[in-house]
Amino acid sequence: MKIVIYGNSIAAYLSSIALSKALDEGSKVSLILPKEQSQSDMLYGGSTSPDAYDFHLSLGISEPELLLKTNSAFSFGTHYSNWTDKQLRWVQAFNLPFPSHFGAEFHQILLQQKENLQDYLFGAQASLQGRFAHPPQNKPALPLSRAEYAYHFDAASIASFLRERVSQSKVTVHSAELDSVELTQNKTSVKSLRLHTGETINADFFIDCSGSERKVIAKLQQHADCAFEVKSNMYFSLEDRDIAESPRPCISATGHQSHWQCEVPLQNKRQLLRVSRQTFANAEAFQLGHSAKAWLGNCVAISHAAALLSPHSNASYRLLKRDIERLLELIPIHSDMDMERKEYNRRYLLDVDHAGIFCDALFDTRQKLDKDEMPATARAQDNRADALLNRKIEQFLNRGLLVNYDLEPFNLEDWSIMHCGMQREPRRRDSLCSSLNQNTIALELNKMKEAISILVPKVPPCDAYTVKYKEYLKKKS
Amino acid sequence: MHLCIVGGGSAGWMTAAGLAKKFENTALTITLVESEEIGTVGVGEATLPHIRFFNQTLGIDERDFMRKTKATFKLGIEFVNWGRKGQRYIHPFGDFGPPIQSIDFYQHWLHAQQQNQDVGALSDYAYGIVAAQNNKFAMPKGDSSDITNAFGYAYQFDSILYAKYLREFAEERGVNRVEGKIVNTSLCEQSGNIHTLSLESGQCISADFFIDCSGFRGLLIEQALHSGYQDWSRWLPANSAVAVPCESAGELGPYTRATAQDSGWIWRIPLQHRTGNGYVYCNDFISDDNAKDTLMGQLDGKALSSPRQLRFKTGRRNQFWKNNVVAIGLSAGFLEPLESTSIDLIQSGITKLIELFPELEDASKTTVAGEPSAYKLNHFDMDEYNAQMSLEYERIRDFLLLHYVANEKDDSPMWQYYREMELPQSLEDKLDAWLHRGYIQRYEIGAFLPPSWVAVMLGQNLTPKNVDPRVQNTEAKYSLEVARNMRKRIHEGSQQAQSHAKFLEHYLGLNTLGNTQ
Repeated sequence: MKIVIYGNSIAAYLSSIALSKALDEGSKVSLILPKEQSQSDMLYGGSTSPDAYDFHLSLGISEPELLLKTNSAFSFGTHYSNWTDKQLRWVQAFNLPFPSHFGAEFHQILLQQKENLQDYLFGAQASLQGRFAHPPQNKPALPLSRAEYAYHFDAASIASFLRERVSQSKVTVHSAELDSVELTQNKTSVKSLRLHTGETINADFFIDCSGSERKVIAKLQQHADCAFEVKSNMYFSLEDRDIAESPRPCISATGHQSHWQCEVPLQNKRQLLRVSRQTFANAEAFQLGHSAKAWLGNCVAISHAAALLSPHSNASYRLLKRDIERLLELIPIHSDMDMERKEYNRRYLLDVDHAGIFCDALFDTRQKLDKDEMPATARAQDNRADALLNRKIEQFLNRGLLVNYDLEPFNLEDWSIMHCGMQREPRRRDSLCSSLNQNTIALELNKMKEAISILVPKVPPCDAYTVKYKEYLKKKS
Repeated sequence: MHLCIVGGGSAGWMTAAGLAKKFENTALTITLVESEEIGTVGVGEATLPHIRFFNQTLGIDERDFMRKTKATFKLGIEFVNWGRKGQRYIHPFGDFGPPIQSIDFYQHWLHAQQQNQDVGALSDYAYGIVAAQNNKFAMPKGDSSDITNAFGYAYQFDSILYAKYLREFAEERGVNRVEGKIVNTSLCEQSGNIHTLSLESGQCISADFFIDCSGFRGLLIEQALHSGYQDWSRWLPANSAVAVPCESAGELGPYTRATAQDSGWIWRIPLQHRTGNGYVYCNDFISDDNAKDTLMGQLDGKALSSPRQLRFKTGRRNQFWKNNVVAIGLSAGFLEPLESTSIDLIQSGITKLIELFPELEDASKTTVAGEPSAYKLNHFDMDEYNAQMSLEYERIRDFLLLHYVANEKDDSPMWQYYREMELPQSLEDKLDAWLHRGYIQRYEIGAFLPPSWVAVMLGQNLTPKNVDPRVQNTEAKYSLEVARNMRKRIHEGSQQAQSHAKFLEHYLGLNTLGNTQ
């Protein structure tokens, strides 16, 4: 099988590394690398998901390399402040499953006790105090062990690191610009890519990683009645700032009158991503949305070439990871790729829907159900994603229920933290809480909270921790 | 809140026990109405591993429960004659070997098979299967990285005794049992809710909330509230069963057996004191008398009673929860017990009901004129319960249907019927994906996860044309070495285990069970 990847993007590099690692010598993987990196790489919002450690490792990328060779930094989550017109403030921390021994779900216990979930998230408290340490794996009683962490990254720095890795792999790299895409006679598949150099590249399978430009898949979309569905037009800018005096291991996402912005702390600087519905000086325009099918004919669009979500969460990175994993599971075996295409598109759409509703829920300011409100199922729903989101939010507002769909990119802890952060208030308490001994629970909760508040100040400041950790890594190597 | 459960079989008493435990020391009071005259179906003598979680939640001691319900351990189900006549396989509770380089083990096994490597049967890589084939049993220990611990187990028990056991449990926790036959149900004109049940004795029982565990007839959910029924008999046409217990014979196997017949299938469930048997069939393809004769001709030992006839229609209620009634068990729907899902569906209904239970004390409770109670019910809870249960039933339906369609049998009218059937699209896609490259469509919510699908598809000779191309990137020598070590460890582990009967004798302190070799 001859596979050609097109694009200069994080998606192109990760796809190249993943395929070269997964496939044997019988498959030939080539990367057509245009000169300019995709602008849409800034739309990852500068953060990975907390499972990036394992994902990178599966691609042969270790954490020491990432920290020593790029300016990536540790992340416990995102601190939202002045968020939406309700001026909400909370840390969307990454956390392992909550304690399950109380007899009801942890968030229900906290709602019953009128406690703030934030006080029980080590990552949230450490973020606010600018502290970081690796969660230990062999000390389950330590509150730090319940935190998870991701990485902040600078799209240019990580791309340069990954490009280097690609050059060391089995992938053949052609540095060239794309001139045109030639389709098969029936217009259902890509026949070849013609490059500015005059060269024509044929392949059995094409992977479009050109970001929001969708340079390859767009050609097929014209003939497949499967256009990119635009959800909104947004304007973005990215600028570098000096490193903060006391950097925090979290992204700061702040709402403003006409825009919102994300500040991403890195090892040597901060990056400020500004996002608005109206244009402003130095802004790049992007159309957010997604295609109903990411795989057409013999071409699959990965990451931003398929779906472009707003960067106020790490949903885009989660989708990128899912896209690559899905692709690896469904690499075509031969030219008949009907089964792979159908299954890939089924899973892709579910993932986009599920990641999309998490993003949308971060702007959904419903905090209470009206007294006589009926479920959304009783009224006409605009579309599939709206129905999924309504069920999530309404069930939480009804009784704090966390609705779970199959294999969502965001887990129940993510949703629970977000619902509480958005101050969604269930109109009733979980019936199960009624039978529990409230005094005993209150005492235990107090201990948990205290353990976090005592431990957090003892953890090193995140910049000092990173410096020491890198020194240790250098000595070790 | 006052809750009334109608029916006292497995579903009724499991619900009573589950709710009484979970809502102990709350404002919930529970009455269960059952009629000895009507009796119970005694459904589901074989279970899935989830039942252990249910029992643990109740705080039930495993040994005590097993002694009192005459339970045996279950490592899986042996399917005989399903792929083709004379062939058998076991669907275990657990996976086939751990992944090699992040690729499912069965993919490496398929690849090795295609390369004509001597890797044996896939079943050699599941400890549960090897132990079951040798009638051995050992408890899985904590370290699941050891392949001999990587399995689950369930029970085979006398469901009438299980109901009795749970009745005691529930009554100890305040559940009030009322003996009597319900002759009438009265509804609130305004809300459509049920508020009173009239018994033959003249007694009236009012409640805020009702659980219908009345069996196939759906006394409340259907007869009173007309929920409606989705008929799935075009896919699973079996509509009858005949059941009979017999004396135990031979070694005590830690597994249930399902043997395909020309017009259905026969179950065999070994308990401590007897073996349960039954023939599930469609009476379009075989008469009741012939079915009965076929069953009686295949018993291991002497029949312990005369055969009992059952009728059913495969499908589910349109709404499991309607107004102030939730249907659990056979009143909610019926799926033939080919994969022991009857008790699992009861358990699932109870778990979801607990999660979505109405408010126990309703401060805003208003009294409608002439009505004793107008408990405010919540449409959000109902919608969610119905959505979750619908998905559960549909996914099990597809998995059951798989057994009938994953073969090429056409030697009887029933098998010819399956050859011509138009499958649900969801199942069609799963089969295509498997046959093309051994790919399993994964889901998170449902009783049967990928290893179960692999077990049935390979067990019934559905061999994929291709494999995941990534396995070609693993050095064959390495994967063969891993496989060889795994097989050896499983073989040794099963040799060291006691026979199932001996294990039970020691574990439960019993006298000799059956023929313990």
